[in-house]
Amino acid sequence: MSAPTLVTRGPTRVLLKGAASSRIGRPAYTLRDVAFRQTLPALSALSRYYASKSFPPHTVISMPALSPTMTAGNIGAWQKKVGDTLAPGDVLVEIETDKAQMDFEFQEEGILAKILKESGEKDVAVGNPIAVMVEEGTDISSFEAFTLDDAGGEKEAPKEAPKEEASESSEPPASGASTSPPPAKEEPASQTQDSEPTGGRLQTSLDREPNASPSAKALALEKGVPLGSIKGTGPGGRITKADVEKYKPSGGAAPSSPAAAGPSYEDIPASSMRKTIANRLKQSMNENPHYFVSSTISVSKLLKLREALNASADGRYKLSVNDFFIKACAVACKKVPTVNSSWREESGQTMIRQHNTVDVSVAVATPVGLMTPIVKNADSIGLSSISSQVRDLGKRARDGKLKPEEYQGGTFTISNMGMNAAVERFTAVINPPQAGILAVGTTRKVAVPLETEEGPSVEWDDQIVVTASFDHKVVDGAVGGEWIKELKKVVENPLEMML
Amino acid sequence: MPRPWSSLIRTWNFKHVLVPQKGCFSSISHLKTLISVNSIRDNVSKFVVRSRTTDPFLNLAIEDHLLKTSDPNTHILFTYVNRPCVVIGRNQNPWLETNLAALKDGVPAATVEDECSRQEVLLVRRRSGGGTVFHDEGNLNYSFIVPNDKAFNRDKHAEMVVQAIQGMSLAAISPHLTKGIRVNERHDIVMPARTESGLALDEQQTVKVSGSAYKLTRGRALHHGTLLFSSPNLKSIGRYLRSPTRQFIDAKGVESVRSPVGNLSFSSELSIRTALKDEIEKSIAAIFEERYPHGKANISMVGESDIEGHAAIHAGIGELKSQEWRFLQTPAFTFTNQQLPGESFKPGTQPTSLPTSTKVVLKAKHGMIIESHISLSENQDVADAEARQARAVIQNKKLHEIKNWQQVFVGMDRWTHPSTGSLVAWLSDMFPATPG
Repeated sequence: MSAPTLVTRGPTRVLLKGAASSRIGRPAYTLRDVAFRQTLPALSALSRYYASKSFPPHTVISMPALSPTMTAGNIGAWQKKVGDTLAPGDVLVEIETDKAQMDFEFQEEGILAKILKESGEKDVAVGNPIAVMVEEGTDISSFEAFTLDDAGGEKEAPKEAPKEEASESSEPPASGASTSPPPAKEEPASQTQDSEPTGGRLQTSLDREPNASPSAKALALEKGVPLGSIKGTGPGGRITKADVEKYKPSGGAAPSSPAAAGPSYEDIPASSMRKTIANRLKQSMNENPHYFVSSTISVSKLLKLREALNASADGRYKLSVNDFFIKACAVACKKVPTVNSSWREESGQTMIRQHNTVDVSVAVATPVGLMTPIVKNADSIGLSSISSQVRDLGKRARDGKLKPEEYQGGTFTISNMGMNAAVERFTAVINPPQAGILAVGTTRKVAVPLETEEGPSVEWDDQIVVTASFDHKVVDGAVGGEWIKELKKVVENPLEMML
Repeated sequence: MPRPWSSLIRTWNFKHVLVPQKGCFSSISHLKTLISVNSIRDNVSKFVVRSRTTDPFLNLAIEDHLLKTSDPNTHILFTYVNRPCVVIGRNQNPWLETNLAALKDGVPAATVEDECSRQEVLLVRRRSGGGTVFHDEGNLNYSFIVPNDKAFNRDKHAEMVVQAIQGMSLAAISPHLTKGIRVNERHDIVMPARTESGLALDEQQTVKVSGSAYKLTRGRALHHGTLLFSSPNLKSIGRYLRSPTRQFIDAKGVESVRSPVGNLSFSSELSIRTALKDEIEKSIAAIFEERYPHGKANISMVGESDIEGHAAIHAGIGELKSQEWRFLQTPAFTFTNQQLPGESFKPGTQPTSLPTSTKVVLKAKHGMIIESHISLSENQDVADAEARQARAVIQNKKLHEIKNWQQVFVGMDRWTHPSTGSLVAWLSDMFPATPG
């Protein structure tokens, strides 16, 4: 161990300075098993030990991680009293965490000198000191006055990294140069410093280097995080790897991450709208047995009718293909009322509510998410009303100004991706408690055969592929097929909408 | 539960479950040999043990014995039902977690005859951690004792119980009653809330049907949990688990987390409840057998007669029943009617019969009063004198041994305040005399 090196440094300087002693002992496991104990005061504490005169040599016992996921625990009953002998395998204290009662079996030999955390203490973090042990034959009466601070303090209370230059410090800068990418043991050896200027402890020029563990330094370099701006939460204000990791998100989200590699992903907190959409659609997918019925519908006549109507509009209305589809859905729903239903489980009764009017929910993409404002009574109002309603609702949806009754309810939904030329067809998720949804693809020009007097020829037809999703609880396959047939009939012969 | 099923259940019940399994191992001594270090014979490393006793101390002692002495490679399922009792966790405070006075009154009886033989509700402190629960014959306790290795996690057995419930036959339990049953983040088993007749309420509201606690030792892990399958006492649970002292006690140790509870499937007929319990036990055992390797499980039952003369288990029973274990294992706490300087704990409102100058502070450690100040007077000197006299009587006394608070103050020449009677009444409510 590097103990010999420290011996030459410590006591001499303390005697020269006459500083008030810092009282600390060597930490329990670092000397024996570095890999196991990664958060203890390490050798910075060791140096203080050699500078101390008040307490006999002792070992600080810390809260162990009794399971891989344990981060803190409650102290239960102490099975050993101060003055008792500890033998390997003896249960030292009972610890409870997350409803699990566990025995802390101690593996060292010694005498229990002081209990720092009494029975019943809650939420003691793993790594925090809980007791002090000494070797056989040591006088333990002096440990009465031993406090948590003497053990190195607790992790939760982050201590200030000593950035201020203390006037006592007179360590020549050269001593700091001895360190280079170090193994965990040796690096702290060169960082002989203290965390509490108020305790009147010694400060060396090594304090001016950021007080960070080697892994923290490496990580910070990689992430481009300035160590100076991190507050250390390790013992003595040490910056630990966890501190660097925690700092990353706040700095990383802004594009101004200095140097090296920026973060490779961004965490966007889910808005409540997103969560609602997620929940409802998840629930729908889980509970509704979806099945899909597709149909290729010729919309040539529809487009011609639309043009004709818009031509004579004089600005009173501007019909879109979607408006026609809304009306067509409403007509089809009237013809096949089973589809215009919802599955209800209320007051112990399970029933299917068949609505007498058709309220069509229109899917609108807003910047915050998907919304479905409702066009009420779509079966009985005219195309121009539908058109103006859709336009108004869409605008207000995008502005976030819809009233609840304007988007809650509805008996059928239509989702139109026709404006996206790449979408030939798609399937949609039913909005509970409705029983169906129509997904409208984009218009394509397709060549269809035509018999003319000259013989077989082709003509161009405008076609749209629609896919309807139905809830099999309410709508059986044949019924769904029937609905699509009616829809196709009315779209391909749009004047039937007037019937 | 619909009537026609009850007759179905009764018939196959008698065939399969009520008769103890003969042929295999129905005595604890055999059980012990089989699961002790040298004897995994015939490749049997899975054991299903059913308790015949409803004494909670016996059951917990047997469970602990199984944990401590079983072969490290065995997997054990131990199921038991307790007579009405309140079970607090290892590091809990009985005065804080339960209404000790209500326990003495016992459980409301179903019939007039039962009313006469009402037994008090027992207070039990178990060895595993976690919070306080109420047990009765409508609650099944399951206990899994398995190796504490990488395969063990806190949700594993709760998930198995959920699957066991979902897998039960239609005759035993109507599936729509348990639809949506799942394990939540606290390792509890919850399901959507329903009214008594099984009607679904709001989907988002859940009730807890099972809670878990663990004891982990080197090499072995114990996961035990409750399962409220059909308790007639649901409405009383709140009364037992709500202590009048909770507004005044600032305690170290573990506090319970409250959840609304519900039955899996309640029936007012005892025979249906018994049948349901048997069905659940079988179902859990089946899943347990399927999930852990090495073939069939050895099934046995254990009762009071089986453990006669068994020294270790009887020692365990003695410890669990003792006042030392139940009361003196309480972590340090402070009972106070006013906020103390430097402390953040804000007590509730004291009874109006007590004057505003009342000051009651009791600090207890290991269940004993180590510090106290009880006074009624507004006058500082009189108050100090009152406190000194009271302290002389109660200092270092074990709190559970104070049977009569009246005697603390009677005959005290300093205690002349007219509200002394109200103070005695209040303290007697807060810290009622405990039996035994």
